[in-house]
Amino acid sequence: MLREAQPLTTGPPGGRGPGLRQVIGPCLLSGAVLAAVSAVAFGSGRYSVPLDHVVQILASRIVPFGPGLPAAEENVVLLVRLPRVLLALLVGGALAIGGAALQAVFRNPLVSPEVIGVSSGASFGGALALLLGLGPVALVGGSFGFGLLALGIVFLITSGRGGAHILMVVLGGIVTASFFSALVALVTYLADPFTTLPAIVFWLLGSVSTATWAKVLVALIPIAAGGVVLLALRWRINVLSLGDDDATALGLRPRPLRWAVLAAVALMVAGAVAVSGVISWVGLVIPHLARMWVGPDHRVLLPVSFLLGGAYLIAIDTIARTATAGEIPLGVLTALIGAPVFFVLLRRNRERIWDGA
Amino acid sequence: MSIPEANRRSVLAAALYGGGALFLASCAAAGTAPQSSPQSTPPAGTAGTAPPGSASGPAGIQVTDQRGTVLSFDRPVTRVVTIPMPAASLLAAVDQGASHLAGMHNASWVAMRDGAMGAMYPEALNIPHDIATTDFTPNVESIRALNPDVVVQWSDAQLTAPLEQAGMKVLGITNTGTQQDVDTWTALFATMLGRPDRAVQMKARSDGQQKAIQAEAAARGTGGPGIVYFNRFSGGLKVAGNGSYNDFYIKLIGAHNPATGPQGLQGKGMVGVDVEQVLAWDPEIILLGNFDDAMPADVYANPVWQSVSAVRSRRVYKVPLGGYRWDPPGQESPLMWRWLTDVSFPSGNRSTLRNETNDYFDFLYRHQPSAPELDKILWTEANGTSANYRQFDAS
Repeated sequence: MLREAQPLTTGPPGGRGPGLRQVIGPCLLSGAVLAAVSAVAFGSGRYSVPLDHVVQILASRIVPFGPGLPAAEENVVLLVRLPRVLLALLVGGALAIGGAALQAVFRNPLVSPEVIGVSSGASFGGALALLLGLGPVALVGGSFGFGLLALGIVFLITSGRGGAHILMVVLGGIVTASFFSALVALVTYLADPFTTLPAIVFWLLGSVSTATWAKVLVALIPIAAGGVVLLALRWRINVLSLGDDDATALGLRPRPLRWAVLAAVALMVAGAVAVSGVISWVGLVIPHLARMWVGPDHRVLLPVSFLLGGAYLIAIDTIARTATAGEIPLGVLTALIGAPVFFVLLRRNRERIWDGA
Repeated sequence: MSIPEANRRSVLAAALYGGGALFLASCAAAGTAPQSSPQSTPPAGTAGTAPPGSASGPAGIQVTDQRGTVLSFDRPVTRVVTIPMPAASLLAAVDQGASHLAGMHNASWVAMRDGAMGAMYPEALNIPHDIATTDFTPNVESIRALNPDVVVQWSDAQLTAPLEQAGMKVLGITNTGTQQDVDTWTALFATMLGRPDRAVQMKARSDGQQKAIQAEAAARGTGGPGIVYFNRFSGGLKVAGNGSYNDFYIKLIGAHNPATGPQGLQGKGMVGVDVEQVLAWDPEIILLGNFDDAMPADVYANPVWQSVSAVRSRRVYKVPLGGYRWDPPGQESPLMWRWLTDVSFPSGNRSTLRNETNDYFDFLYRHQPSAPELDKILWTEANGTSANYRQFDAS
C-alpha cells in the first residue's frame, strides 16, 4: 500500500542552514559542468566549424578583434547553436527547478510537471493555439493559462487536511493529465492531417530545433520571473516541505505560499512548453540526482537543479542534432534516457523514497 | 506525407490518447477479416507481383484492388465516396467532373476549397465531407447514408473492415509514393466509372512527358543543381529523403538531391533534419512544399539561411498547387516535372508551362484556367522575387 512520503528536508528548516561556502561550492561545480557541456555543444554540429573559430566568433561579440570569419560559420554559431544552447539551458533548468519545487510543495518525490498535469494542460493550450493559427503570443499565453489551470485542478483535488497524500497527488495528476490529454486528442482530431496536424505532433514531441533569439526571449521572461520567485522563496519551500502544521507553527501561511510556488512553477513550465513542446523526465530525474548530491535543502537544491537541468538538456540536444544526419525528437531521447536513469535511482534509494516500503 | 507515416501518427495518437479503442478495434478486425472479404480470391501467382487488374464486359465490371480483393459491379459506378486524400481530385480528373463523387474526406474538401478544384467545380463544395476522422477511420453510418456504389479507402484492414461489415464495397488502395500508384489508381477508377479509355489516355500522356523530360536530362548530361525539397519548413524542418516521390522527380529532371547523396539521411520518406545539416549540404535550389505555409520570402528574410547558395542566388521556390498539390504523386505530376525542369535549367526564354497547364487541365478537367487562376497555381506572386521566375509571367 502506498504511504505518504518522508518530508524532503531534514534539520531545522528555519534555523541556520548551510553557510555561504556550502551553497556556492555546489553551484560553482554545477556551473562548471554546465560550461563544459556548453563548450562541447558549441563545438559540435553537422556543419563543421573549427573550435578556435567558435571561440573567436563568440569572443568577437564582446571584444571585436582579428579578421572576420566566413559569414556561414558566424551564422551557424550565433544564429543556430547559441540560441539553441540557451533555449535548452532555459527549458532544462526550468523543468528541473520546477520539479524540485513541486516535489517539496506536494511533499512527494515522484511529482513532476508531467505527473501533475501541468504539461498536459500547457500542451492543450499550445495545441489549441496552433490549431487556430493564433501565432506565438497565443501559443505562450495558451500554454501558460492552461498549465496554470491544470495545476489549480490538481491542487483542488489534493488539498485538504493532512496535506497532499501521495495517492491523491497521483490520482489528481492522472485525472487532470487524462482530461487535458483528451482535449489534445480532440485538437488533433480537428486538425488538418496534412498541414496543421504535423505541426502539432512535432511540437508535442518536444524539440528546441526551432530555436531563435525571439524564442529565447519568449522563454526567458516567464522562466526568469518564475525562477526568481522560487529562489526568493527557497527557505520557505524548505518549511513547506515539512507539512502545513509545522509550517504554520513556524509562522508561515502555507496556502498562499503554496499557491505562489505553484504559480511560479506553472509560469516556468508554460514558458518552457511554449517554446519546446513537452519534454518529459527532466523535472523528475534531475532533482533526484541533485538531491542525492547536495541533500534536500532547497537553498542549495534549487539553483543546482536549474544548472544541472540546463546542462542535461544541452547534452541531450547535442546528441539529438549530431548523432545522425536527421533530427531526433528531444522528448524521445529524454524519455529513453530518463526512464532507465530514474529506475536505477529508485532501486538505489527506495528506502529514502518509499518510507521503508 | 506518405500513408505509412500517417498510419504511424494515427497509431501513436491512439496509443497516447486512449489506445484501448484501437486495441479493441484491431482485435475485432483481426477476428473478422476473413469474413469481411468474401471476394478476396486473387488468382494464385499474380497477387503481389502483377499490378491490380481490371476488366469490363457484358457481364459487368470487375476490378481487383491493391489488396487483391475482386470487386464486381453490374454497371459503372455513379456514387463514389473517397476517404484517402488524393482520391477525390484524381477521381474528378478521371471522370472530368465531380458529379459521381458522393462524399469525400474533409481534408480533400478543404484542398478543393482552397485550390483550383473549387473554382473548376464549385458544385463539388456541396458534397458531404464529414465522413471520416483525420486518421481515415470511417464514420460507417454517415457513409452508409450516402448510399455509395463503392468506397475508396486505404488498404488497411482496420480501415476497410468496418465498411465491408456494413455491406459496402470497398476499393482498397495503397501508397508507396511512386508514379505507379497514380497509374494504378487511375486504372481502377477509370474501370469502375466505365471509362477505361481515360486511364489509357492519361497514362499515355504521363509516360510521354516522362520520356521527354528524361531525354532532355540525358541531353544535358550530369552536373544538375542540388535540390532540397522541404515537406515542412515552419516549426521544424522535414526534407524528402530516400524513397520519396520528390527524390524521384528531382533525379528525373537531371538534378540531384543532397538528402539522398553521400552525406544524406538514413530514414525513408520525409525525414526531420537539423538546420546545420542543410547548411552543410548547401543546396543550389530550395523547394518549399504545400504542406505548410512557408514562402520564399520567409527563407530570404531569415538570417540563418543567408549563406546558402539557393538563397544567395534567390532560387527558393514554392511548389505549385493546382487541382491538387504538385509535391506528391498525382494526375498533374507531368506538369510538376516540366515546372521543375524550367526553374532548374532556365533557358532564358519564356516558359511554355502556362500553355501546357491550360492544355493539360482541359484534358484532365475540361477546364482552361484563366490567367489569374494560373498565377495562383504557379504562385507567381510568392515566387516573383525568385530568380528566373519571370519566365512564367502571363505576358
